[in-house]
Amino acid sequence: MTAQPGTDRPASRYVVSVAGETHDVVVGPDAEVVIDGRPHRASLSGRGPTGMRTLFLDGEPGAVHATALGRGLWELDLDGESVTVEVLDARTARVKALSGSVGSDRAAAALKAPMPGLIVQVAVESGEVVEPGATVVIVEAMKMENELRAAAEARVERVLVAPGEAVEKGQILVEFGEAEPR
Amino acid sequence: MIESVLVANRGEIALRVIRGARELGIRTIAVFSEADRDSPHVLHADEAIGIGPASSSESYLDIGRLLGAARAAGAAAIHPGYGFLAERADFAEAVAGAGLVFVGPSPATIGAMGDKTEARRRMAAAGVPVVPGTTSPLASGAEARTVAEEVGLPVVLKAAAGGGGKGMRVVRGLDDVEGAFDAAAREARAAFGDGSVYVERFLERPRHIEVQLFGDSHGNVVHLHERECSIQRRHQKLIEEAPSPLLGPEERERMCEAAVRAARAVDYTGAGTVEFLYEDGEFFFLEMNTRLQVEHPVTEFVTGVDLVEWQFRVAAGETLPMHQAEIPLRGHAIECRVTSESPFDGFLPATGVVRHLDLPGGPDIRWDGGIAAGNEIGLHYDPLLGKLIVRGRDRASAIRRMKRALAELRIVGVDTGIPLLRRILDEPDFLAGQLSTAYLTEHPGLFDTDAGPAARTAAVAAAALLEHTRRDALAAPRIRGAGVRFSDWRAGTAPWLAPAPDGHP
Repeated sequence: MTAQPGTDRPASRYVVSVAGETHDVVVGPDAEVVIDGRPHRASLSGRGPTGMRTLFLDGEPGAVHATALGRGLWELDLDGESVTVEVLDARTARVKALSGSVGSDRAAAALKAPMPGLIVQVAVESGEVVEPGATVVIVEAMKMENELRAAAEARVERVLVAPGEAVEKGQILVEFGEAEPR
Repeated sequence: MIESVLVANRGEIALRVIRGARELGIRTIAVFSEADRDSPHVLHADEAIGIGPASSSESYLDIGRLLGAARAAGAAAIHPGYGFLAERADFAEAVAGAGLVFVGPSPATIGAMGDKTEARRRMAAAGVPVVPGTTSPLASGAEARTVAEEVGLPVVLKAAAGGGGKGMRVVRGLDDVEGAFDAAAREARAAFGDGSVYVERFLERPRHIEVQLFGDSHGNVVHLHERECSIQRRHQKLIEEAPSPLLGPEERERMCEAAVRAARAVDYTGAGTVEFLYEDGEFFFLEMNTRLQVEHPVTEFVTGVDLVEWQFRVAAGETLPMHQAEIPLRGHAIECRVTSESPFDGFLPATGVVRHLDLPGGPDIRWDGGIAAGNEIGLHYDPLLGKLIVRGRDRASAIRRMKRALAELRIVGVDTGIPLLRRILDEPDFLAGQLSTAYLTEHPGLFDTDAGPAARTAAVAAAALLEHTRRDALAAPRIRGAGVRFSDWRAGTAPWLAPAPDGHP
């Protein structure tokens, strides 16, 4: 890119991940954005007083509200649908692809609170092996009990909450390991 | 007319009642919990009184505090809205006992309709069809089998003390009845300490159709036609419309007449609704709600009647403003309930702060909402944020208008059911009026989270531009050594450059 003298203008090639798919994106000058080799005309208006912007994509306007979550993560509200998108520059994406797998497995093996609420019941103990679909924790929110179930067979490694405890959205409740220790 | 009213509720319905009262020149008194200090219903009342902490048992459900607030404000009447204390006979009684007018039916009527088996008995006696089955507990599995044979399979066994699906069994084969009876009784005993079980015919794909009623204290009862509320999830209505699509004029007439008979059987006064289950040309009494319904605006759109105005007139002792033959049925109305729930995440309750709120406009569109930008949406109360209601000359034009209005409605900062509502309004069975209470479970495709390739491209482009702009700003020219960014200096955001409040630098 045309780096200006005295500045360290960042690379404009990005790897963008959304809904489990990654896309190669080049942000060029004059509102050109190339996504997976296909050029689009795209621009974004400045932030309004309540955080709204207008995205013009190939002539079509749309309302966008964005919250930066850090490390290239953006939470977008796009015409009423909310979605989380990760934007990494090409170099960071390569580094992450080489080293990142261990950490992500670890994160997937934890049951997180899907909403703030109150723990009503913890149906498992550490060391126990749970079947897919088994109730793990019951969280009460808005006077409704929500049963959080195991997605797959797994061994409970650690239980981090107890009945009566208030939890925040995203808080880790139970950590799992593999069902058969090898 | 009544001089003043305390509205013992919150959110959109409190605001709806306040609006109706103000148009009649009635002084309005709002009540609010600590969590609702900034709610629109507070702002639009003539007077507002704090009644306690966020927990509804210590505020909106506390009869003593509500009556205390009514006394302090000199209210002449109390309107309960829906939910909270609206269908509690003891509340209606306490209001009357305090010398105030309760805007609703008598405590006796509320009590009779609140007891499921009592309501079933009285309706059957009045000639209103009820779901075939028993109303008293069954003695044995053998008796359950005999009754099941009489009413026809499939049947559902229900705990008399029940609720929440506990002690409930759907049976499709006659040989399974006795085993299911034992299991249901066991479950009921464990859950409620009472093993009583009764049996009803099970309706597989019923439609939920209800009739709006009004009675006055002079013995007049009229109906204001029906509403179809079949799009539900676990008995929570999502989309309602009036009139019902695919209900013929004869069926409509029979159903509305049965509802009027039901109301007369309990000397009904005020606004009420009889709910029916409809399947294959047959309809059965489900329950009677002795209050204003959430979905009352669709009836207001097709009849032109202000139901809250009628409630106040009836409560003041006036006769009903219209005869049955004068109540019109014009066009088609649809309501979408907008709730703070994540439809693609099992309808988990969502929380957040309303960062931005855009409301739709244009002809024949109505927003009955209880939120304002900046409001915090917590977990203390019902997740209903507001209702979007539209009218069209027929169902197809109403649906087109609703799609347009939903596209304009923007609530940012808390997840809502709006994306699901949009998909339902595009779904062929919905468009054809092929509705049943099983609609959502029969259309799992509505819950696919992928919003489509166009939306994905927009998300990718927007995020890439945002990240690119952010990096650009970070890389703005700096004064070497000083560490001050030009962009900060130019924007005047550096604290040492901001002028002092008294004007001196």
